[in-house]
Amino acid sequence: MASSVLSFDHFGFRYGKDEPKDNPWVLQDVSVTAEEGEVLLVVGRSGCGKSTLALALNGTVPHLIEGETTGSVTVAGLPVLDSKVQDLALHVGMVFQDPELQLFALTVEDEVAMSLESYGMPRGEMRERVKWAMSVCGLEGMELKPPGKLSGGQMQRVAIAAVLAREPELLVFDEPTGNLDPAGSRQVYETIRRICDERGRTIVLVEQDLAPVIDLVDNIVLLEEGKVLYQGKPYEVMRELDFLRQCGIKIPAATEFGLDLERKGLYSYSRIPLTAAEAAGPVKHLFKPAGLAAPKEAAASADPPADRAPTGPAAPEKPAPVVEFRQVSHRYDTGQLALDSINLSIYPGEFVAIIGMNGAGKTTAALHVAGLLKPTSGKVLVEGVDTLDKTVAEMARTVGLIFQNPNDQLFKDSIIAEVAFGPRNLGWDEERTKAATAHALDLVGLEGLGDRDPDSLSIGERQRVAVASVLVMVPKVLLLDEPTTGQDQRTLEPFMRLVTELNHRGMTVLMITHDMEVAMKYGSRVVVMSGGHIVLDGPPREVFIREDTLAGANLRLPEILELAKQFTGGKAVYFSGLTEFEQWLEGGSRP
Amino acid sequence: MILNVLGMAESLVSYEPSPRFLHRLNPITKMAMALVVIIGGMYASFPQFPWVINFGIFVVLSLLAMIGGVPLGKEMRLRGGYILAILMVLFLANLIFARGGEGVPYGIRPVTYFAIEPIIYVTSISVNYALAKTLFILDSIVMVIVFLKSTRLADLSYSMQRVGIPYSVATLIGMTLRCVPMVTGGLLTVYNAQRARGLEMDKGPLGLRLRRWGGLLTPLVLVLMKWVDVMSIVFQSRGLDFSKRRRTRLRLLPFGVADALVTIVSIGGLVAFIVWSRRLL
Repeated sequence: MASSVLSFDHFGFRYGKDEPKDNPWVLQDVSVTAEEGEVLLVVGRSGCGKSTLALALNGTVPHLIEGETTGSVTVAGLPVLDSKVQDLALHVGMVFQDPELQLFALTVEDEVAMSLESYGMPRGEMRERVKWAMSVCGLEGMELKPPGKLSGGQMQRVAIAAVLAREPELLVFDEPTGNLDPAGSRQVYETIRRICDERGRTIVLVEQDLAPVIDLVDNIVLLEEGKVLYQGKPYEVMRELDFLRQCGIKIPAATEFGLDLERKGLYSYSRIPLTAAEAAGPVKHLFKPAGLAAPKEAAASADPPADRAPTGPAAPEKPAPVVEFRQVSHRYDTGQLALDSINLSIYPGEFVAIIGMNGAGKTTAALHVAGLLKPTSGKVLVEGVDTLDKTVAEMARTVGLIFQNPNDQLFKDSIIAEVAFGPRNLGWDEERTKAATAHALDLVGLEGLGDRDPDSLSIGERQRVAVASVLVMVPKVLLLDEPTTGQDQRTLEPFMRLVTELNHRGMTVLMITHDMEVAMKYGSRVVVMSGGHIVLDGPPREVFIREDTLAGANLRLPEILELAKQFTGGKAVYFSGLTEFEQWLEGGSRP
Repeated sequence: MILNVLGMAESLVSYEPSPRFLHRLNPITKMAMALVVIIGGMYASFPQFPWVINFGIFVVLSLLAMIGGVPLGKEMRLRGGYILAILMVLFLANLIFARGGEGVPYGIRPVTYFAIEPIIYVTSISVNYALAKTLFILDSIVMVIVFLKSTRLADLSYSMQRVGIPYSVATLIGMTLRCVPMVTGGLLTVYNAQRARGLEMDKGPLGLRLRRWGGLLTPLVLVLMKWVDVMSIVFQSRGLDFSKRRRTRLRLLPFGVADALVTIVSIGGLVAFIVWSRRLL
């Protein structure tokens, strides 16, 4: 029988070096074990204690981040509470969320070798270990590259190689793809898969999204407010759909589909499906959907016409574009060509999702719309006026830009001061500023909280403050740069409802996102960028059937369309959601 | 301006791979060369020496860069404006405030071109001195570019340890250089986030602009503190520390015949120059 590599025994923790009693318990009475070779998934919404649990595995909690503990934690036979982080590092390898903050050396191979050098490993053995770890992580040929010049996915793989090289008994991944684009995430998950295949290593994965890893894991621990709510095999846990949703967990489309079939009495799975193949395999013969022979032809265009009609709900007929790119190129000082002669017209009332991998030119395009970057050649017109002729302050009246991380934006000591910051920059008088601030806070549902310090708010609330701080200037265009990154479903959905409501009130929304599901669900139009070009532009129904072009841009299909492919002979066919897909399957007709 | 300076720093520290001899030299050899250029140039900046000596060093370094595959021209095109501005300020300051009559070589009578007594004298000696000093700074900048563009910073950190600099200092220098692009990126994000709310950073009176930049520092410092916190946790959780325990090294940088030759020629040349030049002093 395999022995336990990690064991939490009634473990509890609350932060605070001197006065922990003032703080709530972040973890309470946690009892979890994992055996040698087991892959354990820890899931839960933001702030549920997942990361604290992970940090307790290598002694960061409570040795580096101090606080009060109860119970005990044992890793590889060592009592964590009585062992030094230095000693635990030999047994536990930890990969964190932000790849950039985990790399210290100036070349990839130095990074991988750094801790081996620190432990005085002989050179020959060290060279072998470094070579092996780099090959498992797919980093061959990058030995002498500076880590700072790599993509996010590559950097994260360097971080994985750096901990893997020590060959620890336990590997802990704390939301390792949280800051990555789809291509980077895929690389990291493939690496984790290879590690799982390579040796019987114990792995703890901390995640918000189940779908990418669900087929890898042996056991799942569900945390809610610091307590273990559920612990068991994935097939058992996934039956508790309502419960999982309440906890802010995103359910894989394949699982929802399988459970729907069971609920309708159409099929009973021996164990609940976790992947598209598992869901479709046993039931394909039950359905004879019509229309597969002639799926709707793709109409999305790689070269959008200037007079493309808007598809947003509030869009009037044939209006003038509110944002227009005319042959816009932008080259950075470093020589990198970020935008290459792009043409794009955005019409009032549209909800445009801009997707693409990191470096595709999405953020550069967004900064042009906000007037924060000027084109190297071509023109960007906002409400018909060249951004070159407008100051930054003038642009702020028309375009409200929300950054991915609200912490980059918020720095005042009260919400009111934060929201009033923009109007004051624009020179509004106090009365007007006050009225606009109150209105903006009302719009985002933060009325009555104006005196609170933004630092005391949750991430979702801080994001609302960031939205209010641009809405207050009554912009025509709302520009969102990766607004959903790192958010669980319970935070994401209300936030997206707010953005949709603003769009329905007539505000044009441009949203940069890596999340294919969000782009498909909320965007009335999807623009796909790759290498500084627009490679696709059209409504989701037209864009998400162009699988080859999406793959060329290093993007994947949304989950529901991957599932649908199982029933269409591998051909990408668009469905707006699970309901539409199931209706098509059961009705025998195409939507 | 700040972003441009940070961008310049980022560009300066980025290694440009090449198979030429300069890149193959041991960093310690290049450090010795840099030292020779700096000591020699400083020595040649005394008023007793004509400015052409420092100009000669500049020519030699430029040739070295050209033959050694260092893109000096590209760097000068990109950053030449800043370098020129620095050199102009230095030249004028040295020209006006160098006491032109002091340290005059025996037998040479300075010609005064312009004077506001008793503070400012522009003489034939001060022109020579200002030129020599300015060229010395230019030589130093070129040497730094040649050194950094032909040396991996990882190897530099290693070489620093070989010449006796403690592991903690060498590693911290390496980590600081690694963080330059991160800090630039962080500052740019915070800068844009505030400008997007109508904050004009580069307009208005100087005092107002300084206050606005001061306001920008708050979110930047908060972001940086968070980074330092996370990096410190990651560093320790990987079992890394700055203790004086025995460490091994993945790569060895050989000190070959070419290194020995270059070091001997450089140091020998410097010593010969100093011995010869003492006759002039």
